[in-house]
Amino acid sequence: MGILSGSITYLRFRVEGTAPANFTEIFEEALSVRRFIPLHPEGEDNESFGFVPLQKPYADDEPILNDQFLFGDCIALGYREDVISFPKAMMRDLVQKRLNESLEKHQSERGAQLKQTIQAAIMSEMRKRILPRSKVVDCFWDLSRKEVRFFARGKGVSDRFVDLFEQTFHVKLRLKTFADTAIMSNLSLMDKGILETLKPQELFKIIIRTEVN
Amino acid sequence: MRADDQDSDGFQGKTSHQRLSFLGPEFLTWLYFHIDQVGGEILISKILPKWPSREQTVKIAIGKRMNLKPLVVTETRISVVGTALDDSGEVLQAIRAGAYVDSLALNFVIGERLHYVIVQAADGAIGNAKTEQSFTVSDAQEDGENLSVHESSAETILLRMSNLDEIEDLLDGLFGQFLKRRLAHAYIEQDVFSMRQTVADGLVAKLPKMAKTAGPQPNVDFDAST
Repeated sequence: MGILSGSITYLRFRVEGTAPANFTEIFEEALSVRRFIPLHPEGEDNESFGFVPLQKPYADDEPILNDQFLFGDCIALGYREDVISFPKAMMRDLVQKRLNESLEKHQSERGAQLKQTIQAAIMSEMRKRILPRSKVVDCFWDLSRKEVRFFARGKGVSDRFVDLFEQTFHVKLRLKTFADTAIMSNLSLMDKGILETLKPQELFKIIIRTEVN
Repeated sequence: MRADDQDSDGFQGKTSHQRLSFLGPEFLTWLYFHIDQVGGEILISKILPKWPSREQTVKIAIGKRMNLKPLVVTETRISVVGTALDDSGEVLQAIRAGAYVDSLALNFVIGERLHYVIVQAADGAIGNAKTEQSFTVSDAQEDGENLSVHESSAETILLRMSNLDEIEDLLDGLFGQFLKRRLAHAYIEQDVFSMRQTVADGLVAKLPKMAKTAGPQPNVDFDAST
């Protein structure tokens, strides 16, 4: 979270491309396609991600309407990821137990295929008991500034968000690092030339120990 | 990868963005010294000609947290937490040993508004931002305004985001000022020399005072030119 309360940590993205003039109609439709769909206990997928309304990220039956994500010239949304993960040690022990039981009953059946079948059966049973690990991250797109703020810093989650955002809104997102700001700056031709060949300026020689055991 | 990211000079196949990633740590290191140099107060028109608010200056102070690490080494990282980091011997020692500022806590005071942020050199992220909320939804409700959930959310979001706009504008303005100097010859002659001198002077000032009768003075040689 962060957009509505608490201290704020976020990544800055520069938006390449322009939102269409009738974006209010287009974006509502685009979001209905990329809306988050919850994982089903009897399904096969172990992860799901998509956009959700900012104020009601767990109201899975409600559509994302204009009045929920449009704030003047800005768009505010939640990005939600649900992941079902099975504890490795528990899976290993349960599979081994079932495998032993099965081998006692049917001594002829052996091999990797049996193990895989047992594993799939256990996962299917466990899905009904395990709640998915859920994460909601706010995002804010200022159309006039052509910038997106994504209120998390993790590489994995931000990469997945960028992919989804680009697919949904048909624009490109570029992480706004200091290097990017320098490259995109309104520099003279001479300064651009200098920037292209610029190298780090050593302030002092490194004498910090760098060996890592 | 974009076409303009192609590296034409063969810098080990890196994109321009990767090759220029040192600008983040260099900027924060420069800013650390620059804030002290300008006495913690910056004329806004100098860094942002199109500043929308009426304030003319911004007061900037180093916060209570910073991380330092060398440009080329990712494993070694020095964290410094505490007050008076603008005059910290530990920070100067780390810089003298070749480290650059990797993240820096900053306090901005613009008129009556106070913002606190931690700026990350590597990805330009803003961390732990706490912004002044001079107007809240509860104030509006107290004034008799009956706001819907969407309206009250909108008030909060737009206020908080406008505070972030202000912080980002200031940071971008300061980075623009740094970049202008960084691309000029004067950077090495003036800024780098001044930073080296500040480190040398600062470290010498941290040495315990020697009594005049206590024999020969220690040979302290912090050469600002190397």
